[in-house]
Amino acid sequence: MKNFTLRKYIEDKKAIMLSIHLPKTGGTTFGKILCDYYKDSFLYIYPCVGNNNLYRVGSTSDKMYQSKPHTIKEVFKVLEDKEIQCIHGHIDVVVSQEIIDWYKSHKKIIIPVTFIRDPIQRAISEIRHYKEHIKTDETDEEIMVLTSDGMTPYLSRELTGLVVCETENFKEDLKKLGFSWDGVSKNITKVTSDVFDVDLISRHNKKDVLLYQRLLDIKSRSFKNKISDMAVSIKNISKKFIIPHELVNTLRGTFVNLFKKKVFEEFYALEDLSFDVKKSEFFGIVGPNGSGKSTLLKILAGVYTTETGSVEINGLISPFLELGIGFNPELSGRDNIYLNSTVLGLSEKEIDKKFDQIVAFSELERFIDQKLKNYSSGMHVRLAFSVAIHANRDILLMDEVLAVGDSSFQKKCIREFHRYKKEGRTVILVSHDLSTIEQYCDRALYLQGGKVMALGNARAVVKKYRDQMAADSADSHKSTGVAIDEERSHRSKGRNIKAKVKEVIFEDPLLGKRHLFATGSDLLIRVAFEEFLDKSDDLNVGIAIFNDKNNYILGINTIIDDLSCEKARQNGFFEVIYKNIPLRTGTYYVTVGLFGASDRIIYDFVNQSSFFEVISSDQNHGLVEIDYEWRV
Amino acid sequence: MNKKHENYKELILRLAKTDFKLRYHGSALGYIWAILKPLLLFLVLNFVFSSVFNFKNIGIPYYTLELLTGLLLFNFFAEGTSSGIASLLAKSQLVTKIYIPRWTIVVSSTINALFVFGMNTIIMVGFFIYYGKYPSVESILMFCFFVLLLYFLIVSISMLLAPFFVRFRDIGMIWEVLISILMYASPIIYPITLLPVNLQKIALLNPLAFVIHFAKQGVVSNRFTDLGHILLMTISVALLFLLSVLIFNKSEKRVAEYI
Repeated sequence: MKNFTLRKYIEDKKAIMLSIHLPKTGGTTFGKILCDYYKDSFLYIYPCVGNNNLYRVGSTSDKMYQSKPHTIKEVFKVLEDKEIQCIHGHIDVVVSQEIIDWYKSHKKIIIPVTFIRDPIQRAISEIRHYKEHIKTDETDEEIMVLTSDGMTPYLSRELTGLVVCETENFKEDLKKLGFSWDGVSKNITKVTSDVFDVDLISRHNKKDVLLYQRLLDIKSRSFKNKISDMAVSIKNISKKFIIPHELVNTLRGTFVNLFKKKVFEEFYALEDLSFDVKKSEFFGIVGPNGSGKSTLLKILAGVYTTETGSVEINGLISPFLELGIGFNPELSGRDNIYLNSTVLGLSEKEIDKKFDQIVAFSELERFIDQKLKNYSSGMHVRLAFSVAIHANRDILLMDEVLAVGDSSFQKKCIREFHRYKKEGRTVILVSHDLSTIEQYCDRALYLQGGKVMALGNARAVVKKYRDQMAADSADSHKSTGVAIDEERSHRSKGRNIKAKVKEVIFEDPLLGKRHLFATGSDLLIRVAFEEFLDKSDDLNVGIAIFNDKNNYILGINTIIDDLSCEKARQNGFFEVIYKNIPLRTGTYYVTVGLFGASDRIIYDFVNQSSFFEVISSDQNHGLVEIDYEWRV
Repeated sequence: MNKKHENYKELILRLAKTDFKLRYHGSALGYIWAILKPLLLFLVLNFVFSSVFNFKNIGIPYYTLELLTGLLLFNFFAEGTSSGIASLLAKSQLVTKIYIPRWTIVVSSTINALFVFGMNTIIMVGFFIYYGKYPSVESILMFCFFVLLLYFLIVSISMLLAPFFVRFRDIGMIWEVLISILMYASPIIYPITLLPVNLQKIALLNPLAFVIHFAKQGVVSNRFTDLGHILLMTISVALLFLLSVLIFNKSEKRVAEYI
């Protein structure tokens, strides 16, 4: 044990160590390591299950679990007897006023571990609490916050004056570990360069960040026989398909073709592709249809073999690409769980053990003995996902799984992905839902035409993809006069049409016809229409804007605004100018309606048939851009 | 590349069980059909050949038992191979969407036929008891050995043809015809002694005929062929099995692309 500065901190009684953790992030492990190391000067303290007034205490976790329940007074006696320097336990216990008072009177160090539901809010309030109660004279303003996950940014953003324990190359280290540095605020006032050399974890003389990496690794099963940090390592692979111009799968066809000139095309689904996915990484793959994403996943899963290059996979890969493989509609949910779990590599005993968990996670207790064919698609997905998650593979391959399922289930999935990550496992996700990739993935790969277009930080990759897509679609919509897409519109054909939308045109009032707009610019929509109404008939028009997730952004019409459309009827078109559109990056669909005196009399209704695109220059998130001003 | 799947045994059994469950799923009699189907066929054949052609009169006292034994073994072979050959295509999801060792898919399909055969032997035992025929222990052991041999033959053929069936669906048709030819080329409804001696030797080169004939002789008449023949047949089946494994390993690689 060299240079264990934590000890210095403790001996000098200079700082309060706060160790704040999300559930299952290694916080408990961290505490245990400290406690086990300092054996006699640390103490575990946990409330008894079912009785928060009694505690189990012990110098090691085993002793703690075996100890008899103590009242708080008995706990103090133990603390005094043993010159306890540090306490490790649930924050709810440690934070209790009595213990704080005891701490104050004895000037000792507390290492609490939280089990928190809303981690960030809770953590912040805990820190505030500590600052108020424990920031006594000897702490010297110095509070060290160690986090074992991406919480540093949140904490430092929220709390000024905190010293985040950093090392000189903290940024680089964070990056190397796949943590995102983006968004860490400038509020970190002081950089300390403490080196934690924790011999009992590894001999590496690494920095505190690496310490956490180790902590995470302890939990992952790959720690013991760790081969490499890479979960997946792919070098120069290509996948070629031969596309015959007619599919031959009869013998006769083959014979006949022997004498014919061969007509086929070679098609590279993947071309000279190389990339790595690190362990405990949440890796996204994006790209347009036909870019080779699914082929890539199939190669990873071992369904396809490659001609060239090497595919190295460390750890068991969850061998599924889509949910519900091996599911059979004629069997009950129960049978299907057994079937699918077996296919995913669980033994019968394991399934027996996990069965209740699987069912509970899927929330399908009531339907478990019903045949799968009677399940809704959402239920289907819940069951399949639940099985997949419980199959406990090191690497999870997911192809568009989040597209189905309601938002609460999606959140649940994402949570599970994070748990996977925390356990040192890897999630590889293919999705067209760019915001998910952007938000949750550490790194991403952008494929197009079987080649790597971008690889790296998920946000940057997604941005590049979006830019590319916008550029492409701007090319293909150069004419900008958007023809009405009959499929998307809900026009009823046989109706005696008295008025009809002919064309929807998007313009920038300054720059003319266009398809792509910047956030904050003006947008003019011109709708050309024809009408065969009597002069006495009323005509009203309306326009609605939707985003690509079908959220209704804004709907306006001349009935609400009480306007007459006389001029428009003479001109055969009407215009709307939206000023400083606050829309953020995305595709927006426009619905146009022509109505009579009320919006119940519909002459024509063209539903989301034309669209325009918006690009924002900044990196913010969300649906709309609101003027804001920081006061920080 | 790590393609480890730890529980081959459980995987195969689970797939086979599911197959079995699904096969008789939705029928009122359920699993009973597994027994009833060959039994009904047997009763028809038995009626035709015992009463109309009357083999009993030409010196085969236990024709019924011989027919039953032969028929069940043949049924085992026919079902095993046809479901084995079609297995990769029938479970294409397990091939294209996921990696599990493909041989497990083939084997699980043949296991299913083994299940059914196992159930059918119960009927066989019933008939043997009814006719008061109690085979010797040696002949029962020999019968079990023959069943094992036949099973390996089924697996070999399935492994050989399943990957090609994915590419050439004709194989399914050809195999159907072959099966019905084999039905008559093997001594099932007739005793092999009905053939001229030379033809008998040629017929017995067919492993199916060999197994059926000698299994029948063993349990019904307690007669055995010499060990040399059996050894030779065993070695041939073993070689075929090895060959099929080698070819399967090569041909399964691209199978996902052809389905």
